[in-house]
Amino acid sequence: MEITRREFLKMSAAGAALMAIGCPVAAWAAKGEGEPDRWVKGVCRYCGTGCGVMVGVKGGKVVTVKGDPKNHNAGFLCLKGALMTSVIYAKERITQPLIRKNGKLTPASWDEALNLVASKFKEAIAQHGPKSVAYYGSGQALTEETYLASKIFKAGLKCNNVDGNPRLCMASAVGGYVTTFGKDEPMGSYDDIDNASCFFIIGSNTSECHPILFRRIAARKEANPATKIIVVDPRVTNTTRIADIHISFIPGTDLALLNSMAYVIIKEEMDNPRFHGAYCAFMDKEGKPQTFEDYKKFLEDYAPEKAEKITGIPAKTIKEVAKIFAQSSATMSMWCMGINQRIQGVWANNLIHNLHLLTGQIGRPGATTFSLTGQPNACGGVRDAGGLSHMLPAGRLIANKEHRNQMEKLWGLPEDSLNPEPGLPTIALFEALKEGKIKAMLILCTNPAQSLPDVNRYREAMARKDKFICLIEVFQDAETVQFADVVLAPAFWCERDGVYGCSERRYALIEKAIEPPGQCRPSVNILVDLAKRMGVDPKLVPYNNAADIWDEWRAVAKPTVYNFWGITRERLRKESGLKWPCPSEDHPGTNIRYVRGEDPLVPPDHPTKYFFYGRPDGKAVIWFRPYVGCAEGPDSEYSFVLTTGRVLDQWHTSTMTGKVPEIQRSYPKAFVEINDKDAKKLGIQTGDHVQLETRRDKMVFEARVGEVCRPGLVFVPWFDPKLLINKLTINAVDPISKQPEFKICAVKVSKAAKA
Amino acid sequence: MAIAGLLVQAGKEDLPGVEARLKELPELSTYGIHKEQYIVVVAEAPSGQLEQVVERINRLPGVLTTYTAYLTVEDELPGVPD
Ligand code: SF4
Repeated sequence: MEITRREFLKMSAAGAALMAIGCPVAAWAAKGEGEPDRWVKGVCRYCGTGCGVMVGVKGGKVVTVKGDPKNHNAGFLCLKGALMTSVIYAKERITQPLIRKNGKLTPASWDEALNLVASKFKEAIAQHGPKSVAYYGSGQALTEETYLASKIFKAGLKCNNVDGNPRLCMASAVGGYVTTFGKDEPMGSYDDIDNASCFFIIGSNTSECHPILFRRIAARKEANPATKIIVVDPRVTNTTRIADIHISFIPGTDLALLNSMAYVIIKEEMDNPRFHGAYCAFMDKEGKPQTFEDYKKFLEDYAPEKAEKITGIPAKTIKEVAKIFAQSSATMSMWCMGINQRIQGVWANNLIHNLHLLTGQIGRPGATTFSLTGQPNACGGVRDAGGLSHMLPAGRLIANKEHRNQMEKLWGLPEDSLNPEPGLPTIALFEALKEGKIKAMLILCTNPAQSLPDVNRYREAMARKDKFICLIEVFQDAETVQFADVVLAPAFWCERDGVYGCSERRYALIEKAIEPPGQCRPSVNILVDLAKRMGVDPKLVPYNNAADIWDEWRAVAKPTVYNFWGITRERLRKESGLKWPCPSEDHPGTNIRYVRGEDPLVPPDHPTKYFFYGRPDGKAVIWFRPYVGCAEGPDSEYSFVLTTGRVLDQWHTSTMTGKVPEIQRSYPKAFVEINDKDAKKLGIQTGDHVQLETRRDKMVFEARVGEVCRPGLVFVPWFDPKLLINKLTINAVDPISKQPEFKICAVKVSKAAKA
Repeated sequence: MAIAGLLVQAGKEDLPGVEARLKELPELSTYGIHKEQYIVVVAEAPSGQLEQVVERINRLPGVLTTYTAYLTVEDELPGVPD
């Protein structure tokens, strides 16, 4: 039978959809004349779900993207993941180096641009010392890029001012895992979704922010209708559509809810003393050892009737969800920015872990405490490879002499030569830029002129005449380009190879599918070249390509609990991702950490089943973390709470999704969601112009009136560069994680005249 | 024109009704109900209008959500041999 190419493409599309759900693909989907020349394996460029993709290449161009049926996403992609093609070929691509001359970015040669950057960094260090320079990286950079940049600055320049945008999204999750379990990263994996009988989703709009995980949760519920889904969110989002119980609450009071659930669990004897008696230590907020009895006393302040007054959640509901959480056969908690982007982000993380430790809902298939990641490589790159200002690779700390000495040995440096003083975390770093203390900054793959909180303040800092900013950026319309003195043109996504590590400790390879346009170069090549020009010892950067860096990083992680020695480049080429720990090449990867028989780092003859080896005593910590409110709550003048977040198809600062006509038409501009009762009082209807004013700035948005936000709350998405909501957000940070409180600030809401 | 392979997820009891409604939309071809959860659908539309098709599907009563498993805009790219 002869088929037209169009028919063939339709059949391929249906075939891919069928394959995604594990159905046999009909013979007509076999290779035909319309098929790409080749399929190249990769990972989606967007969210931390880290879906595997297959990039279809024809005539040297990417023509299609489909889900990788062998990766965890089983062939599924959300719309934005499938629409990458137009991003690659966007007309806004930067294809050669640019130098700002007389205020205008002008094309330059690589030599000219790199020499200028090197001279500016050398000059700053010579005149003001290594603290006067900085690197600001990204959870979207490849692991090899982050590892390398961090090494160049920390080992080569003796500068620990190495931070990145995961400080804005994941730092509190890191703080939570490290303080409770001794080591970062979740112990479970996405496979737990298929085994959970209760999902406790708090501070996450999974449906819009991690669509393919939401699909898996919905599929679990469909397959097993007795599965209970509890969603805790002050907004009625698409995620709440599948919830059995949706808990709306007064923003910023969830610490009281979590403590109250613990109170109910103990009061009703639904805790698991056999588990917490054997595997947990109790600590007060100063870290002093306490007992279970002390914990019970601490929780007295959180009886449901008391918590109801703080949170606005009926006591009955708190009791009900505590019961479901504790008594389900396997409970999986999931959270994201609603918990992390808070001045009590680490504490909130601890309190979620507490519930799992108290009930023993941990370390079994489906029973786990699982933080969702915003970016595709915040975990694998910045967190694991040590791309933050207080860290060295594989969970080592700059402040720890033993850890520094280990890295000095591994990097071939003299003993005690690494700078022992941690660098500046993001907000402090940009404050230092504002004060003129940072003279030269290298920014890779991120857009701080849009993504920082209270962004006017830091745009002013970036606009200082006496600073020097070098930006490695793909798109000329990214906000931060306006502030760059030099822009370097990197290869994008599948134009070079490298590793991404998603939320479930899975490392997967993005293989090179096509050549980069114009003069674009892989960022690892740019960084190596720049390091040599800056005078960094060439022995520290002996790499020809990303694969060389990967091999060094494997060796650096090998002596630690991050051991992924078995995840070779060769295996990554063959397999669609592997989960660490993975100590040898024949190891299949680890689904559940800290459990004998599951985790290769727990010796097979370990006397107990669970072993939290990240902690000196092998026990996880149940923390006493009192309820503390937000940094800037509503008052008589600024009487609403402003919260920000994502919408389904736009992603982050929309430098990529903004290039996709389908997405741009769905979500052309930011808006403000307002509760219909509030709107009525203020005389506001959908489509009206509404002024939002905080103590930082004011802006006008179009209103969407409805029941999404609870009364007293307004929501604005942050993707729109023309309506920079971060001009209004607050820069207060969590004292432990230094993560800013994007999720809550006080705002005045009023009807504005139509423009 | 863009061609997308979509999976439309709906509750078990809603599937037949959703499938019937999908069949009424001119830009779609359906490929059956699978795994008691999904209807496989191929959508054809100028790429700038695909999102409207997906939105229309999402608004149908009974639809939980729509996933994209495949998308090609091959014939809209300059310089790609046909
Ligand atoms: S869920 Fe996230 S990783 Fe998966 S396709 Fe969508 S954007 Fe990409």
